[in-house]
Amino acid sequence: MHFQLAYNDIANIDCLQSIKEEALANNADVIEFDFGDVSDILPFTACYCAAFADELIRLGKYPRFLCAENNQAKFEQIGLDTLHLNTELREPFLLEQTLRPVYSSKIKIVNDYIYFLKSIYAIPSGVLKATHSIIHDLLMNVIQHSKSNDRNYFCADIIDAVLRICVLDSGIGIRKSLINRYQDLKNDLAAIEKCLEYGVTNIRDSQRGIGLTVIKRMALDANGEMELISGNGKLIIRPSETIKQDIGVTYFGTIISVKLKVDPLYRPRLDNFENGIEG
Amino acid sequence: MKSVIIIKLKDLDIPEFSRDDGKVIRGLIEQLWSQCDEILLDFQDVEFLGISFIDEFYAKLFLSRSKEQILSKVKFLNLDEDYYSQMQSLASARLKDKNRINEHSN
Repeated sequence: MHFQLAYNDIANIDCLQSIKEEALANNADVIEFDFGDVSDILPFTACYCAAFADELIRLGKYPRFLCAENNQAKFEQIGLDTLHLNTELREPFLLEQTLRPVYSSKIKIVNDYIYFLKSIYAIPSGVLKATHSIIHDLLMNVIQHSKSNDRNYFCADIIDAVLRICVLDSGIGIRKSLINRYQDLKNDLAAIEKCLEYGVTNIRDSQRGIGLTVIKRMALDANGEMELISGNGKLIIRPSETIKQDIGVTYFGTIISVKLKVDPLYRPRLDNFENGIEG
Repeated sequence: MKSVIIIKLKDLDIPEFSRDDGKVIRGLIEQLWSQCDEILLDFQDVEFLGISFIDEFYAKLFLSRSKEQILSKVKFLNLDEDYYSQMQSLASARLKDKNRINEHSN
């Protein structure tokens, strides 16, 4: 089975999810994903494909990622090669995965990853600190709320002077995580919007639930954006607009992507943060 | 003479700089509160701080004490300016939240 993928295809959850459903329904053992026409692979795509490849391998299938020869190094760095996903054997990678047994050393994973990014890119200090905070807090959310027993993935890369971060889990999704405490959430989109509010958490009386509010603020301050996908809801927040979408397919879990413009003047200081919170 | 207790974060066994770790540090600050005039937190060799850690160890102090008390008691050494700014911003958010809750209960 062979899928020819264009850049616009692999940047969209609805397209990737449709491909996934088609691939899972097919009896073929070998499933090829041809990225030959794609010049850059986004962190979102890297995370999604890695999770998908792992799922296919668990089902006894053989995913193969094909790419143009001049793009081979990039794909290998991400861990997608022409045979299968093989993140254990090659280091360092732009794509990192966390497994339940190594949760206890997650800060080391994040710190090592930040040092790795520093080694390949000249990233301004403010952007680097924000990147660390974002990955660290998103991973904490995955660990505490997703109930994912599977691998989770994160990836960051600079493309066109924009630092893109993605954290993906295959857990219960945002709505299921919040529904016991916020029973009036009518759909996934409402749950996504809710989780961005200051103080919203599924842990009662804990005075938690500020991480996503802060991450959103950091993204907007850095002239970037934040995108959240969970269930069939998708929310994109930009300085100029907020886009709410029903993606028409269901992603079981949560994918959060953040873009930060690589600006040496950006400082992650959260000035007047209190003015932006509810209440 | 002013009595000062210095807490060197690098000497503490802080595994993750997570919210739970922040709670431990806040507990330590509360424990030392009455024993000195000033608590000095030394961030030497601490390169990165998490949002939840900052909120838990510092901003949440503002839920139980006044801003003046905290600013005169808790001081920082070797702390990056951006993180210092984040601390004050998150503390202001906690103060706002506290005032809102107080208004509702009155």
